[in-house]
Amino acid sequence: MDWLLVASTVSRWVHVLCACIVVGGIFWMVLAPTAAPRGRAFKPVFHGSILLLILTGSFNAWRAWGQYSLWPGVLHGVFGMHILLALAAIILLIVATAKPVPSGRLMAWGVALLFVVVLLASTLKGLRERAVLKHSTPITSNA
Amino acid sequence: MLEPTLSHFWSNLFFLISRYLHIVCTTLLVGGTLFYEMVVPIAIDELKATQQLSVFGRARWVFRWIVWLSAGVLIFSGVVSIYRHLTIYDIDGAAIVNQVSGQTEPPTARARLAMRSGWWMAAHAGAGLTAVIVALFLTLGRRPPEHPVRWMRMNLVILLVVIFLGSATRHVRLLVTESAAKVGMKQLQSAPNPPSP
Repeated sequence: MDWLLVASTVSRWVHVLCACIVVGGIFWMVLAPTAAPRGRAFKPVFHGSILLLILTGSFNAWRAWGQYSLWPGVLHGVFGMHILLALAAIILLIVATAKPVPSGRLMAWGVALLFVVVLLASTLKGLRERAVLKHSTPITSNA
Repeated sequence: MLEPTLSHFWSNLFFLISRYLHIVCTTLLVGGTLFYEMVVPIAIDELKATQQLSVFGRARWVFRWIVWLSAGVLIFSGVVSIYRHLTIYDIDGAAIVNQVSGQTEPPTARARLAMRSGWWMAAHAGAGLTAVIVALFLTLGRRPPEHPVRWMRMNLVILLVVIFLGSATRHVRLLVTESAAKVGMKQLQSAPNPPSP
């Protein structure tokens, strides 16, 4: 069994799952401001998810680095934007939720940034698939 | 290889938006389920029973619209994704991967099952539909069902499985696509969204 392939699948799963928890959880905190002050129950899950997002994100980037280099001008640009905006959103959200009463405005900005981060991730995925197909060298003329 | 055209640009943009909406709606369902399971019960804990019902009812009303909208978009974008990758889902991945790696032995039945991305997609779609149906069931009707938090917990577990199956589908599909491209399969070029040069 290819353990690296299994690790990649699990890592991607954890990354998507943590992204869902962070983006969705904060979105609902913004949408239900009366419940937000009691959102401390969500805090350990939120912080744990951010840690896992960074760890699995680093692993995924290491695994895909060769593919990013197939079309460096575009893929490195989109990947860089993805990382920068994700870090900005994470810092914003940590600051917003650090107060006893979370700042609704900061959380709204954070979640808006996260939606852009998801869009960039989605774009990156599509572009990477195309780059991989474009650079696949046929080994025979036909299957 | 085909020349990139304007229609390719629009179809790629459409598929990109569809994939984005699929992920965003998933985050809303997962985040909403987690929020209502973890935050809302604590938030209404100190209120009187009648106030608790009122707050929970209002929250449920907002949740309902977002769940219904997300369910619709998830199903639509899922169907779009299936249509886009239908050619790859039908390919016997194990045989192609063997061919690329230079193995002469025929693949085992287990390998054939694991390397057919269509099966993973079917499992993902089936589990996803189950999660959507449970979410719709929780928001249908005037009154919430008994033990709503328990239902949400169960749906959260189903959603975790759905995301794992989605992730596995993508991995197998990519592996098969790359291998099929290496052996120069003609089916790849007749796909709805063929690779551009």
